[in-house]
Amino acid sequence: MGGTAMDGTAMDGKAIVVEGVSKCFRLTTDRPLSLKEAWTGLRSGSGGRLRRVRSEPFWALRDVSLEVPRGAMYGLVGRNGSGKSSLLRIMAGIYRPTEGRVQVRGRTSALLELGAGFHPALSGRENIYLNASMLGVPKSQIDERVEQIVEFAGLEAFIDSPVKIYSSGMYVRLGFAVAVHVDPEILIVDEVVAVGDEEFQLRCFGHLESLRAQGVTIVLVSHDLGMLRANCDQMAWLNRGLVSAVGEPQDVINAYLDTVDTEGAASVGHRPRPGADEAATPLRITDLEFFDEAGRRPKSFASGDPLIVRIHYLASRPVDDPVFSLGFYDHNNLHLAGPRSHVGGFRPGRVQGEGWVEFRLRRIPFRTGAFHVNAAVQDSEASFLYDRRAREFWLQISGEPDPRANGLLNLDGDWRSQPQPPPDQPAAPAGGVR
Amino acid sequence: MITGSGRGAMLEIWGYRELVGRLVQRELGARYKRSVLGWLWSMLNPAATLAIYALVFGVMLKFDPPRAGNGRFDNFALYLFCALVMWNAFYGVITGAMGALLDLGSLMGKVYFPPEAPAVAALCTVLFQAAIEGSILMLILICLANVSLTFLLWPVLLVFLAIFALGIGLVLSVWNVRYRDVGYLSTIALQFLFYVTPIVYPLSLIPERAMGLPVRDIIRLNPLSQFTEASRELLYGLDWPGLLRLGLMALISLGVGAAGWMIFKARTRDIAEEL
Repeated sequence: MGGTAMDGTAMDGKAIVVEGVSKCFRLTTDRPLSLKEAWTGLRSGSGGRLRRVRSEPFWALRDVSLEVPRGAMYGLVGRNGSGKSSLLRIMAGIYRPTEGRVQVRGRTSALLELGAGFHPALSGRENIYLNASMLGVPKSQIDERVEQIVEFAGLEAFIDSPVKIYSSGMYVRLGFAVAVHVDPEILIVDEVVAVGDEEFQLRCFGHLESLRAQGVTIVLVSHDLGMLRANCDQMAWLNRGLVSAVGEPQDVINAYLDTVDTEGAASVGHRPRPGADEAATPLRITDLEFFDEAGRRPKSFASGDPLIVRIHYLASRPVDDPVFSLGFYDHNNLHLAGPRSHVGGFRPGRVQGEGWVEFRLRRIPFRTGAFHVNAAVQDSEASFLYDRRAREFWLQISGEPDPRANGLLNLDGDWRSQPQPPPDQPAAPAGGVR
Repeated sequence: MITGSGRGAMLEIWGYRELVGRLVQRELGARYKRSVLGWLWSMLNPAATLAIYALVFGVMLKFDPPRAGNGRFDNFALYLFCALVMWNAFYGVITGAMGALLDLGSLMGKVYFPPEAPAVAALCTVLFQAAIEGSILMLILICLANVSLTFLLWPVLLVFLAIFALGIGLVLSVWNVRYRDVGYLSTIALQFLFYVTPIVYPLSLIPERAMGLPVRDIIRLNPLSQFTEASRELLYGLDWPGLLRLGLMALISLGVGAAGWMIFKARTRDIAEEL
């Protein structure tokens, strides 16, 4: 691979060794796009160079070191913008590290974003060949696999149409199908698989499992902490370009959730909202807390547990019977539920000063993963919005869901069957088998 | 970091020959798609250009071609064609390299491949086209009994020209990523170059001196003139260009090619971030 070096001794049992890697991007605010602009930039002396008028260094990664053992499934977590994608690109040889070095041993296949290396004007089939040849796979091998790839992606009807007409789901399916069918020794997957539908996701993870069983090293970025914990051998947590924790999945996840908690707590409460006028918003939501039945605040909940969501408010002047509402969303921003306080006829009365209201959920229906919970408060007619807090509070549902069920929710129901006739009276009049 | 001495870089592109082959196949396959005449266009196009130039410069302006090597005829169109094939290849490699990098550049942020692969594929595509044009030309000349061993050297000349053009094309293509002006400027520059290279006229038509300048020598110094003239000598005049000139052409070609390759490699190390 380009930009990677091989070193026999240091690589024993390792597929990827990242040593002190830093990556600096130059954020150009004023990059000249034509010679004329470059020339005028040069003459006016702002920055002085022909290449760029002004650029700010941005360190996406700082002194990152980690080792991915051969055959391991390695998870990366971190918030958006923490440098995960840059690190994956460096591992895949697409970016060059500014400092440090990366050693990769083995043929690497990377699925970094939507439409991994597809040319929009070419058909799906042509793109399979193009993509495979970029990964260094001989044509003969792809000839054998092409039908398998098409079938895996479920694109039989569209494979000879240009990929520019594909939906985003079709893009991802085809990208994933190619990436896993080229016999990679190392597979790098950014969080793209989440785009496909549930059935395809299951198939993807099933395939990742079988690849791992064949000894393929897999590096995976995901926000689905439950999935990472269930599948990864090791994990690392990237925080603003630094490795904050590395090691056992459970430890890394706990460390990650700890900061998400404290950062969440720090952000809550007395922060003035931009443009929020005290007079115009007499009632504000100051915090949201998740409790279990015993009144504790666990880091994560298990599916089926009771949950109490407490909404803290601050009313700067008296408000009569405000309507509180909550919104539960999954990581794809799918709105799962939106309980509102006036639906069941609940009236909080006159609220003034600080206080809270609670929403009590008998059983958490969500299966696993991170869910964000919005809170809003309106006037008694539910026509005027006093305050709304979105995408700030995260509810972590962990534990291993029963893999035999699927979907986002566990429904609170039972299975029954039609009463069976007694076994000694055959249902068919023609006489049963004795 | 290993980013390649020239040797390492050459080896890398060899490892990606499958990709280059795929790109060539795509270029050739996509060409003339949805046209009735299809592949005939790849011959009709140069034939039309040739006819126009032959009409304007041979018939209207009455440029005189020298006698052919076998001494039995002179034909301006064929004389022109010998140089035009070279020019077409030169032009094709340069514009192809620039277009290919922009076309495939967006993929470079998603999957690693050597950034020179698109340009090398463009080169192969052009060589394929040039080989067709050259074969047709040679076939016509053979029919006119104007043939000699000098024909055998012509493919070598074509390869040298292609390397020369690739060196220039690679540098222009990487500049073009940053400044699109380069693309527009080179279109103009190529137009100019076309007329200061003896293609539509014989070099002998240019006066030794004009406006106090040794014009003919200036035009002769243009490396491209050497290639077009040598092509005429080999195919039309059935003459050997002489070892010294051939050596010089090889030197220029390999020098420009290697320099272009090195500049390209140095400038494209971070190209995935720019495209």
